[in-house]
Order: sequence, then C-alpha cells, then structure tokens
Amino acid sequence: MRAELEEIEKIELYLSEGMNPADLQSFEEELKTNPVLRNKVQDQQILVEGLHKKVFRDAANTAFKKYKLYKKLRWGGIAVVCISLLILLYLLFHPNNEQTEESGAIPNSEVSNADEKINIAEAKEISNNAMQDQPLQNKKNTSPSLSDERKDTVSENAAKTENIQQNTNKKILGWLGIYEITDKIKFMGVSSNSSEKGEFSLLGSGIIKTTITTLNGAQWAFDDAKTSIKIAEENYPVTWIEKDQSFSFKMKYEKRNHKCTFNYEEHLEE
Amino acid sequence: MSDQEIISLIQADKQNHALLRLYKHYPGVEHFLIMHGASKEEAQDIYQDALYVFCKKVKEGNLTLTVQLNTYLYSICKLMWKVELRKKNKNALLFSEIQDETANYDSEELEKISRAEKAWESLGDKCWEILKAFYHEGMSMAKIAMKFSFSTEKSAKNQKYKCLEKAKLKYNELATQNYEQLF
Repeated sequence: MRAELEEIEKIELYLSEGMNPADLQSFEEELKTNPVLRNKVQDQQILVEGLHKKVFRDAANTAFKKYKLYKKLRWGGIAVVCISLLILLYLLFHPNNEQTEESGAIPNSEVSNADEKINIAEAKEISNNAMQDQPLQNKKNTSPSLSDERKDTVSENAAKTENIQQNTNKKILGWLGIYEITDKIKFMGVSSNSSEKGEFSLLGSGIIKTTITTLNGAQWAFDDAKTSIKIAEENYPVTWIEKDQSFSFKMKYEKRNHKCTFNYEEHLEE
Repeated sequence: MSDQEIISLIQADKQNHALLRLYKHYPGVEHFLIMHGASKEEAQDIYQDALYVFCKKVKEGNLTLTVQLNTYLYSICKLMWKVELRKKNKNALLFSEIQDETANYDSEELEKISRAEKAWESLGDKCWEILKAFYHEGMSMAKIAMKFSFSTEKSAKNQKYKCLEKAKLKYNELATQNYEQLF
C-alpha cells in the first residue's frame, strides 16, 4: 500500500503541475515506456474531472432550484399586484363601497334617471309657504327645469352594531329622487303632485326592520324581511301634507349589522 | 445580462451567479428536447451537461462564441441528445436534417467524465467530503486531517487513498457494464 500511495501522490503532483523539473523529466520518460502508468494517469485525470463535474452538477441543481423559485415568486408577485390592483379598482369605483360606510362619509345624493320610469307628467310645483318659515341651507336659485329644482342635502351615517344611531337629513326641493343612502340601500321617493298620491320605497338587501315616523308623531313600522317597502298613499300622513304643503318624516332602518336613521324632508314650492 | 457578462462571471470564478442566469435559456431548450422524445429529467441532465461543457471551455479559454449563447446551448443540447438517442439504439435520424456545426464537444471524454461522476456518487459522505476538499478545494492533507479529526496526517492520507480506490473500483465497474451493454 505504501508504494501505491507514493505512486498516486506522484500522479497527483504530475497532474497538478507541482513536480520539480528533475522528477518531471524522469516521470515523463517512464510514461512513454509504461502503458500501465499511462492508463493510471488517464484514469486519475478522468476521476478528478468527474469529481469537478459532480461539484458542478450540485451547484447547477442549486441554481435550478433557485431559478424555479424566482420564477414562482415572479409569477406570484405579478398575481399579487394584479389582485391588489383589482381590489383597489373595486374600492375606488364601486358605488357602494365599504369605505363610505365605515367612514360615515356623506354619499353623493344622486338623482337618477328614474324620471323616465315613473310618470311624472302630472307633477305640479306647489307653492311652499312653509319654506319661508324653514329656509333650506342649501337652497339655490330655482330654475324652471325640474332637475334644477332639486336641492338635496344628504347627511347619512351608518354605524355597525355598536348601535350608534346616526342621522341622514334630506331636504329636497322637488318631488322625485333616488338617493343612495348607504351601502346597497336606495331610498326612492315620489312625492305627491297633490296631497293624494305618493310612494316611498326603501330598496335594498338585508333590511330587516323599517320604521317611519312622521313629524307629527305618527309611526308606521315594518317588521319583516321584505327588501322593498312601499308607503302607499293610504299609509302616509295625508293630513299633514295638506296642512303645510310639505312632506317630512323620519325613517329608520336596520340591517343585520347596521342601524340608521335619516330624516326626509320634502318641500314643494312654486 | 449579456452573454459576455455571463462569460466574465465564469472567468471570475463566480460560476454560481452565472449558472442562475444561464437557466433563463432553459425553458426553450427543455421544450425542444421534450418535443424530440426526452423526459423532463433527461432534458435537465442534458442541459446541465451542456452548461458543464460550456463553463469548462470558458475556464480553459477554449471557447470563442460565434453565435448567441442561447443558440450555442441549443446546439450542444441537440448534439448531446443525438448521442443519447444513439446509445439508446433509437432513431437518431430525428436530427438527420440538422447539420449543426455551431457547437461541438468530445462526447467520448464527456461520457468517461460522467461515468466518473457516477462513481463519486456511490461514495459515502465522509469519503466524498475528504476527496472534494483535496481535489476541488485544494486543501492540504494536514488541514484535511485537522478538519476531519484524524489523529495524524498519515491516517488522513490512508483514508483518502481508500476512498479514491473505492471510486476507481466503481468507475471500472461502470465502464465494464457499459462495455457489456454495447455487445
């Protein structure tokens, strides 16, 4: 074993070019004449190269795993960015987004095109004497057109189950409107063109209770799970309308997690 | 990263950085090889062999890229798969129309080196670590004796010799198996 060890060391020195010149010359002479030694050198060379290749392959395998991981992370990152963008777009552009509800911000009072759906041809503008006693904060110059006559002030607040009761005040000059009150709730009011007709609806999902209280104290309550509640002419206080030419009531509604109260006032004027 | 920058990384012994960037060409090559009958594992092995040949040539200063690196790797992989198909006695004429002079390599030498690689794989962990420290990392036997807790340098040398002999034995065994398969 000793001689074999020494021979291997010689071969290793020769292959690593670490042999001194005298030994190198005699080793090369021996290589020329000794085919067994020549084979041993070649085998050693191949074995060492095989060792380098195994080290290389281990490194390549690690690199391949990293490459696959980066690839996954890249696609994952792209997916996260896309989903985040979609959520952001949803929050920004969804009309009834949660932000509005949670912040208690006043939603835009929008008058929809419901005019087309509901026959308003007979609507008349009635002088509202009460307006003088109760001037509107947001009153603007009245113009001949119907839409310009609408003056909405909406302050609507919704709270979660902490039962914080919040108010929405509406003052409307006009007779018709669909008002976004809170998340997924629409309040639609069609006033009477006289003291005889009118319909108010609270449309939305999840409404479990609605109470309407007129200013003179009359109450009209729903205690069912209807999603649409209409106040027909027989239900609302006709006498009161006849009395001061304006219409006003307080409406409460409860959703599963919300309670909300808002006041609705409508004044009709010439 | 440009082809030249990857080559510079290999020349600067930053092979691991280079490898990560070299894998960006892999999906195309893998697709090509799979389309020509290779399995995923075979495609991966062939690509790694191609990377080995490429890196070795760069380190030895034997490579002048006349085409893009992507094309070069494609060509080597094609040649390697052709050789592999021949070994499997399968129809290597799949590539008959491909006259590819872009890349070349010594397939016989690579086969021997790959056989040696397999021989190393059969070694136990300790043997592998000792021989890797000596042949790849260039560690002296004195340091190896200390690192692997041998009482003397001589006993470390004896252990190294035994391990090397095991690898040689395995290598010769694999060579005989390969020879028998040919006939």
